[in-house]
Amino acid sequence: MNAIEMKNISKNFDGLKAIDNLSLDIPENSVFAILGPNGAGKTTVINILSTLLKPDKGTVKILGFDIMKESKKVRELIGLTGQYACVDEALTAKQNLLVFGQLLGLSRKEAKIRGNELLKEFNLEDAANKPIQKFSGGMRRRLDLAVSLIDRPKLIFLDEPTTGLDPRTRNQMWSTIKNLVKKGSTVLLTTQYLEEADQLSDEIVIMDKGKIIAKGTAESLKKEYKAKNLDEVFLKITGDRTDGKNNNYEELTIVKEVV
Amino acid sequence: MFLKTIKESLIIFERNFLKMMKTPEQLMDTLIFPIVFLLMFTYIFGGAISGSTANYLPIVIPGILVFCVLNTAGASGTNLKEDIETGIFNRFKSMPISRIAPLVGALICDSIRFVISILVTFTLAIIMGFWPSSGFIGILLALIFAVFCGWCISWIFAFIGLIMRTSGSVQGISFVIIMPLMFISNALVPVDTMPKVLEIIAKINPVTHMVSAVKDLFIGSIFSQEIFISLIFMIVVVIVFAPLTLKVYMKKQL
Repeated sequence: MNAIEMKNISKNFDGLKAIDNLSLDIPENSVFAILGPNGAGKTTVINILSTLLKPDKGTVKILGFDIMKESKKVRELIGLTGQYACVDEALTAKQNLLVFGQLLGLSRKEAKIRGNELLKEFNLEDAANKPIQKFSGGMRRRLDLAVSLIDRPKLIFLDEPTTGLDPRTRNQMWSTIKNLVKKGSTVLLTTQYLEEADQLSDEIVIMDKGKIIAKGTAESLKKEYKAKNLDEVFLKITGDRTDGKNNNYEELTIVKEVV
Repeated sequence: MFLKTIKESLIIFERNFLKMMKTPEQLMDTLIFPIVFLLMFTYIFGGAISGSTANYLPIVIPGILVFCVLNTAGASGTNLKEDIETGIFNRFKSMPISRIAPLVGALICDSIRFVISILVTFTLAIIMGFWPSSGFIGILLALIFAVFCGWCISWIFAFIGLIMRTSGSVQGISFVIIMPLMFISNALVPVDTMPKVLEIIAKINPVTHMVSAVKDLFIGSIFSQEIFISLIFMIVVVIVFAPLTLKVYMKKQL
């Protein structure tokens, strides 16, 4: 079964096409990366898949359940880590895990036990009783990820999990995600970093302006576009699409800068 | 289903409560204005308005209590928006919990906020020498009345919190709404000294009715017309704004 089946999804914001007739199947037990510059529509896709946003057109099935008709069921199966760490600043790591654990139906005691497990797994034990305000960016992201894993979701969405992190904490986050994948979760992540997609994912789609412009494994993409690395693939694809003048230039430099 | 919603609301209430306790400065922010007004109006203008500070206290204290309630209600809208800005409502919405629970949890926590700010302000009033003739029961009823009004009015500010773009603008709007309502009422001065037009506005102003209701409770007349008018106004506010707020909340991507 496919973890995600998207058919002809469109979403407009104030007349602007954020997602333009997008179809995509993502198999179970894989790591899938959506790669694209700022404004490509990556977060909109994640928001639709995680039932936060209704598409204007099209259907989506998550592990066989329709996101519109069976949104409750879908929410039981997914975990979401948004683009910005959304944990409570004023609360401690422990309290955050306790609140979310209980919301997910665990008893107080169970939530405590599960919280401690996750703190250990994510190397946050020492900071467990500190308010999040005192956490570094990397620790916040790790806690955020830990929170979305409380009820062991079958499918995990990571929206730009390492944007804004320094290279060292990014590497830490990558190894955390790799560990997660080893345990057999399906992960869909979005990223602006070509290297991240290359490092983490089995399959990659490249998105720009609400459309998929390329799809394949890192290797197959490199082969297809006769490029040494994904960076070149990206340049070739987005370069080809421009008619005469390169209107993607600005976005490209952003992507290049951060890589 | 209903029980599950209550349970989830209480968990989120607990979260908001913990948060409130960890950030006492947030509560202080809403209290500073009423307290400064109370001290300033009593000791600077009190004598000029009522002949003496002691004579002025029964006029100003019901007014300040209502002001305190309005200000706290305004702050609850700002807090809600701040919470939404952190993205945590998105996480709530992606979880298999009742959609309404985060909002209900926040509103329950607001009630506690009202109780605390009313108690602090009233304690200060007692320290300044105010003691209503109605005695303990009257005081209790007056404070419960004030908290109830605050809770009803916080629906208005919750609605504003949901539709505005930033928490800063919510704060700004609250201020612009609350200040004229406060000044063009009997909260700080008797209205019969105002120019005719202002006097008419002041007499229609719901704040005036609320202040008069608190005054009535402080002198022990429990069945006054002012209390009746205020309660009707509050119920209308809830009937109008609760569904509006819920509708925006359910529809909007936060």
